[in-house]
Amino acid sequence: MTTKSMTMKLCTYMGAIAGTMMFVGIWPVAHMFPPLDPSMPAAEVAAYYRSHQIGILAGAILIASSSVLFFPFLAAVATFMKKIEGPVSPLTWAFVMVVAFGFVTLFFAGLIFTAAAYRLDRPDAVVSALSDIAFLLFVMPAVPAFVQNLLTGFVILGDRRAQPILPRWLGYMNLWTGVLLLPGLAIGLFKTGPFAWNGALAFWMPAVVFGIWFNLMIVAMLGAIKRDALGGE
Amino acid sequence: MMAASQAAASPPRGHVPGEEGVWVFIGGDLIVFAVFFVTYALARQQELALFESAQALLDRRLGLLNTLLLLTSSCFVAQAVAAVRRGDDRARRLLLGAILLGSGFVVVKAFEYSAKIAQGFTLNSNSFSIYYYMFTGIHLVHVLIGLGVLCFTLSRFDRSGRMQGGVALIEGSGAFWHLVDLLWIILFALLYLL
Repeated sequence: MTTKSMTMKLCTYMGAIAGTMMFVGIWPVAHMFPPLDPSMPAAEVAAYYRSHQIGILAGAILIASSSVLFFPFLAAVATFMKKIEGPVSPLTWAFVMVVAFGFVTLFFAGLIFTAAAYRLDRPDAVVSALSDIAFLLFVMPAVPAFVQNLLTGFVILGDRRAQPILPRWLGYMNLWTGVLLLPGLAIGLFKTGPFAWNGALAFWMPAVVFGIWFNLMIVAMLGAIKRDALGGE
Repeated sequence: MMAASQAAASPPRGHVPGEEGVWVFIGGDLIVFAVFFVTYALARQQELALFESAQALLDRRLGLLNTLLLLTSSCFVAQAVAAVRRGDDRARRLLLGAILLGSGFVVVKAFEYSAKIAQGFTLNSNSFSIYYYMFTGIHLVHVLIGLGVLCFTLSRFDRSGRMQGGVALIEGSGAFWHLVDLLWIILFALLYLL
């Protein structure tokens, strides 16, 4: 095993660690999974923060840290895309720029959860407004994620090699995931129902699809690293 | 040469249209819309009277017109695929016809939405309107993607009206277009007729 493929492997595994940290942070630690009901009155939201203060503050640290650890993984994805696209690689560059601001929202989500839970002697309205911002930051990045997935899909499907660097089905999988994340765009329009930020179609379905996509990406990337798809030429 | 043209005329048994990966996308999309339909059925059960009265406000004639447009368009695509397999140069015109009919769907939808909004039936009017606008809107995104794919396929014909690089592209885009059609038929039945 070469040093380069060792690094690629570590970067890919870093994605698994980041995903786990984010999930542990938002769910068993902060108790914010699924998100609080957007139609909840401000007083109840503030009361929830008061009774879960330590968990939310600790969960926010995990969420903010995971946002950083996603980047080695995304860099590994970009490395594959660069190899596929070759020297002239506009889609890879677009991908790098979109993930740079798409994933930063995760860091800000952690930050604003902290701000909301930090001083709970504030008026209820302030706590609940901060909470709104944190959830919007957490769910609405479905939009940059949509573009990111389309770019990944197009690059994988544009691979003209006899033995493609990443499997073609993964390209279609990326396009499908992108389309599915899109209902996240509409969460600002609803406080109840399936397209609210805790709804079946704007939250649960994208959350499940994101989980499937993420694991398949890791498996396919590790497979490509194993057969040294990045070496040669 | 003879064997090659015969092989093109009748695809081998167990032939999967398009490339296999397209079916990852189509299968995934079908699962998603199945989730949509179950969610809708559950919500309708809970507020049956409201859903029935709101559904009565929809214009079934426009819905039917759109169904006919998509069905005819799908028929044109199927003919175009068959024409490409035969090496027939009418394929390009058939595909263009399919694209025009599909664009007609988008125009009708624009009229339908603006008429509904003018009547005061907007996104957050009631729980039925959320489903109506979001489901038909997401389906409309599929129509636009499908039209884009068909236009891309159209651009792959050479000057003599033949298609370069085999039938996989037109089969795959045709399969996606049939999916768009199938989903609309279910949506039309659920939202307009039920």
